[in-house]
Amino acid sequence: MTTATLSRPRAVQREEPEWLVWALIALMLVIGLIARSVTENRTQQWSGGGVSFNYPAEWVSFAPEGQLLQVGDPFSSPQFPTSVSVQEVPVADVGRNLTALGDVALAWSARRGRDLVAYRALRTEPVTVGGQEAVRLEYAYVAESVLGNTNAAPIVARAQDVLVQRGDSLTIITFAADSSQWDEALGIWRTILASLRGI
Amino acid sequence: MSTEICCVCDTPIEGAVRALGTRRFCERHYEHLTKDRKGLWLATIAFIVALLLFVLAMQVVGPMLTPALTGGRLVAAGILLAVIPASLWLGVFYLQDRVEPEPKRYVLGVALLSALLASAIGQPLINGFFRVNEWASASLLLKVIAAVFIVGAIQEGLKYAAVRHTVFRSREFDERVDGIIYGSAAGLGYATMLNIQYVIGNGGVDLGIGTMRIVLAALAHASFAGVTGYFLGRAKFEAMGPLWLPAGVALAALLNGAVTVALGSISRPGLHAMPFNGVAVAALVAALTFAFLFRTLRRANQVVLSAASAPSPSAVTG
Repeated sequence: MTTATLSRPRAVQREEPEWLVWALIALMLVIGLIARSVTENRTQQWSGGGVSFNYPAEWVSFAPEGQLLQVGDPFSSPQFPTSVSVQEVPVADVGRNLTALGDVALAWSARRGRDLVAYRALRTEPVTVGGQEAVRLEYAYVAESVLGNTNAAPIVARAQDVLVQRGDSLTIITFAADSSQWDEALGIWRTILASLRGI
Repeated sequence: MSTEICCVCDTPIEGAVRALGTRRFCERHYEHLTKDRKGLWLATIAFIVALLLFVLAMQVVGPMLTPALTGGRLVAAGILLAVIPASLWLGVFYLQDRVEPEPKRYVLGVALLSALLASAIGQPLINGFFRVNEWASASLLLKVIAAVFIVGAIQEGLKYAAVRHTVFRSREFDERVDGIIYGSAAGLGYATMLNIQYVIGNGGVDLGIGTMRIVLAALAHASFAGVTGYFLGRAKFEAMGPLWLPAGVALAALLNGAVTVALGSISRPGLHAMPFNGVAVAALVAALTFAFLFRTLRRANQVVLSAASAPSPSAVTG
């Protein structure tokens, strides 16, 4: 009896090898990661207003109202989607006798203050776009839901304008998002800014 | 005394040694492994019908109750609803399985472990690491890839682990059909945790609509894990080859992904949500999946029984 017990085959010998299951799952996850990587890195180039940049390919175009471009992330807040827009305005429309870009930026900030509810300028700093001087203006304001439902609470939005002056015209690239999603959205904005070039 | 070891009870076989391929069994466990539980199929049908009745009842009661519940009470009611499908399954299953029931602690343990794995590993991986919701909706192809290769693989892999590393090696796992039973338990545990997270994440749910989502998830996950369970059930008692279990998990992941994407389109064909369509299709998928699994298993059992009744010195040694 003792001999039989000691010499009996080990139970593990009867089981199918399990590592193949986990190898298969690992392979499936790698395929999924590749699909994610390809998707997330897919961008679309836009050129206009003297600038060009890349934005995520899955972003959709909104009806631009007096703007050259307005695209947004369809998977962000439905009330206030994360978006990038571009508009071009004559410098003379922003203010009179403006020559220095810093003055143009101040005048533009004042105009934003008139157009947007509860506007607060948070930061203004010089940046470079394709070797050309530009100004970045960061601000917050209160916006209505884009869904147009009157019983919804207003949204606190945060945005950045990048102002690029080309002679008599000013190109403004605006990135805006619901303030509750601002920190997550900044990664995308940085990627867009990295691709921003003057043309 | 024979030096052969029964692969179920792991003890030296006294008397006749029964064989199925390279596996050896004692007389008792050989009889067990081919046991057909006819009542199990009826219990499964009763479970699906009971869930549909539950959905219909909540369509009447839900709209009356929802406005009266707010805040914590609405969340508590939602959590209660989330637990009902698994409780119903346990109830129906034990009603038909009174003669020789699976130990409750094993069935509950597998369901609980699967729920914990969902909460601790599965959903954090899917939503946190792979961030599936952020990129997989761009096209139908991406939806399917994410649903099968990420969501399906993770969820079915964890349900497989919940059975394989617990009850699979125990003596209670002594019938081929036990794979389907414990697999379904793992699926329902996983679905229950998903539903609880959904209820808490939304601060409660509309009791009518929420019930449909809860039932849909329960039916779907029980079916997918039932497939893995079928493969596990056969792998324990037959030498099915090294690719058998990977094939089972892959099939379950494929079913998980394909059915989830299809149910998403059926439940929300456009801007309007039509959740009952999803529930009806999920019930149909569950019924067809379990019908296929039980039928296939019964045929496999009949093959073994007919081989055993035929005189075959190589299959039975004394």
